[in-house]
Amino acid sequence: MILHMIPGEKAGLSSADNKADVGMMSLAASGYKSAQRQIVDRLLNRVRSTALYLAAGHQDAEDYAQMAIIEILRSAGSYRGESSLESWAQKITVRTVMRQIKKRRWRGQFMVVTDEFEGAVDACAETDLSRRRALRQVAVLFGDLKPGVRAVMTMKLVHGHSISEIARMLDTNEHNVRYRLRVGRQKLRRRLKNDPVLREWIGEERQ
Amino acid sequence: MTRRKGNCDRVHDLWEAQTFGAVLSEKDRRLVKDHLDQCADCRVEAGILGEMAFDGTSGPAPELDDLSRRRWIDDVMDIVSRQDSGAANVSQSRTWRTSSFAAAAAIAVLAVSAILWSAWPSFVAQSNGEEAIGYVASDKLAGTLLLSSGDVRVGGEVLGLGSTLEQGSRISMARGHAVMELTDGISVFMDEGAQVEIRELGQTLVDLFVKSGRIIVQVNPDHDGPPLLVTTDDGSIAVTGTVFSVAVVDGRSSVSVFRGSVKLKSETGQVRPLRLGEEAVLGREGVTQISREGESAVSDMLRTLELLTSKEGIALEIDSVPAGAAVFVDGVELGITPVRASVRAGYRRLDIKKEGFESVRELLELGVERKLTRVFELGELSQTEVASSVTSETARRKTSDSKKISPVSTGPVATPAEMIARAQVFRMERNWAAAVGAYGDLIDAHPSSAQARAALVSMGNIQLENLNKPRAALKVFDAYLARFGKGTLAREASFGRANALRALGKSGQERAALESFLRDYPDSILAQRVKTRLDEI
Repeated sequence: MILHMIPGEKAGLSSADNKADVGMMSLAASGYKSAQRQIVDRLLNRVRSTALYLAAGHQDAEDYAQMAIIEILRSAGSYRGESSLESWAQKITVRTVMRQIKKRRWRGQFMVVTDEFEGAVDACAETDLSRRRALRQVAVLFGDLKPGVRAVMTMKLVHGHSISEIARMLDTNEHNVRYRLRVGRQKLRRRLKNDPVLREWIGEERQ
Repeated sequence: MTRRKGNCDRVHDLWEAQTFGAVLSEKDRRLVKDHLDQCADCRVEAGILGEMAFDGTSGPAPELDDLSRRRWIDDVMDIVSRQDSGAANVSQSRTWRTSSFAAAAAIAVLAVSAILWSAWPSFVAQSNGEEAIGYVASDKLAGTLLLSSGDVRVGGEVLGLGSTLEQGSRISMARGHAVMELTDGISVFMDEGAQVEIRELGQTLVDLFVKSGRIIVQVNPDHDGPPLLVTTDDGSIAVTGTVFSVAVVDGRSSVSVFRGSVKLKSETGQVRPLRLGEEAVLGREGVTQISREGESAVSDMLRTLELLTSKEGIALEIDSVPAGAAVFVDGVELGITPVRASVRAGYRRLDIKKEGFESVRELLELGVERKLTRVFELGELSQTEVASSVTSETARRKTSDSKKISPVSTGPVATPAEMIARAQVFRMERNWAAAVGAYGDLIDAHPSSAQARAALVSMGNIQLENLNKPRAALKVFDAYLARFGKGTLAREASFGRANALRALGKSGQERAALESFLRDYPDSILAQRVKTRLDEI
């Protein structure tokens, strides 16, 4: 089994890539539909995934993702290429979703996002579904964390941003980011130990 | 054991250091690897953290198939383009569909009505043809006809779909009904017998005079165009973001408010507010509550309004032989054939029904072409068939050029996967009623499929959360649990059932359901919430 103990994806965009992105964002800001569509298509999975973790699996996550994407398009003109488009969009996504989470008090009925296809997938897609369900379970576990801690955890564990990047994105200091990350991981660790669904999925029955 | 715990701590320290940017030495890496071989807890943690890394997919979010993805993006593009034209605000548009709308709208109404209050004299005077005080002549706009079913005329001329409506147009609905959009964000449903006149249609004011009959007006709260003033012989109604009806019958003008609030001004100049759920007669004292029947009658019309659009709408022309058949799109009755409507793009379910004739159902993909014409030839039912209410299995259709096409089956028209994808599209569009209809179709067509099982639970969730129909939701959850008590979604169904009972106020049964949930799923992630709720009741 290959284990990625410290997960993270590297944006790895060169400045030339950023330049191209600045051009595209500038077109999007000027109202070019094809540029806007291209940006949405490129960022869609990333934004939806982030929104779901931040919303702790709540079904409103889809709404938040939509708001974040719209905010990204509205801010397109302010992208200067100082960081990758993905990082820049991530910052807007986190801020938009956090704002919505604070604004909207969830109602008593906590409806977790569900798939329509559960139990009805072909063999090929079964692994994907199983992984998605497990990750969703993790997102629900995020519900025990404060939104600020959730944001740091998502940016680090899901998107692999560095501590300094996260601090910049959240307008806070690195010490605070480290603290939130430590607290979040400790809590998550405790919950993971006692979660039969995730243990089963990883293939480790609790002894 | 102590030694293993110590190793766990050490490994966690190493992970943490790595998280903060440190590079592990060869020795430390080996330590971690050896520990993972022995420690199941850490293996779970490492495995989960490894899977969390973004890999280009939507991760925990439900996967979108190509169609749903396209619709998702279209939805965003639509909102952005409306914002660009200054006609929409996303946060407001998202909340339009939620029950919290009333609160949001109330604040907006208060703010804007204060402005209207001060401006009232000038534009009321103008609307009544009197001398305007300080009124600025406005640039003229043009309205559009979005739906025509029956006989809608302007000055004796029959109007067609897309016909332009201008200031001064006098519109009469002799038979059937019609929907017109006066300007972006203001839609008017005209019932049979209604007669209205567009007295002003400018950048600073829209004034609609109702001579007789009933109209239902929907003003989107995002609407930031000119204010709307609806006038009758008995007074006027100042409007911001709201939904209300005006009926002028037997010389009485009654107003009912279904969303938001309005301000009424009588002939004598007396001004008073009318709020959500209230109705009043212009020029008379007193306010009454809207009856349940009145509310449900209007809800059908509102669903019609939501289905129609002037922006990138698809022109749908439906006719039948014989004429006079009822046309339903996604379960919403648009009218009696011939029907002309500008419908929102997407997958739509079209039903044609006429008593004594075979019914027809067709799935339409609106968006491929800008205009879609269908002429259906309805087969007459025999007496036996009428008695047994046999649904349409052999209805035939013709295209607009009257060329006959082979009989269309209205039975299973698609595979379970296709049908559930269609329901998902409706969900993406927040078209909850249509989504429930699509799930229902799937369950009817493929009752033993795995998708039908999932559809039951999805249906229940929508009915409970989005349509506020806990009784219907309870039935659906019960049906799932009775048939597939040990199914993969039994946990969700059990939880949904408890929530439905809560919404119905049956706390005794809710308690039993919650206790049963805890017994069956003690390790569920929802268990803590269930316990909290049990403590509350």
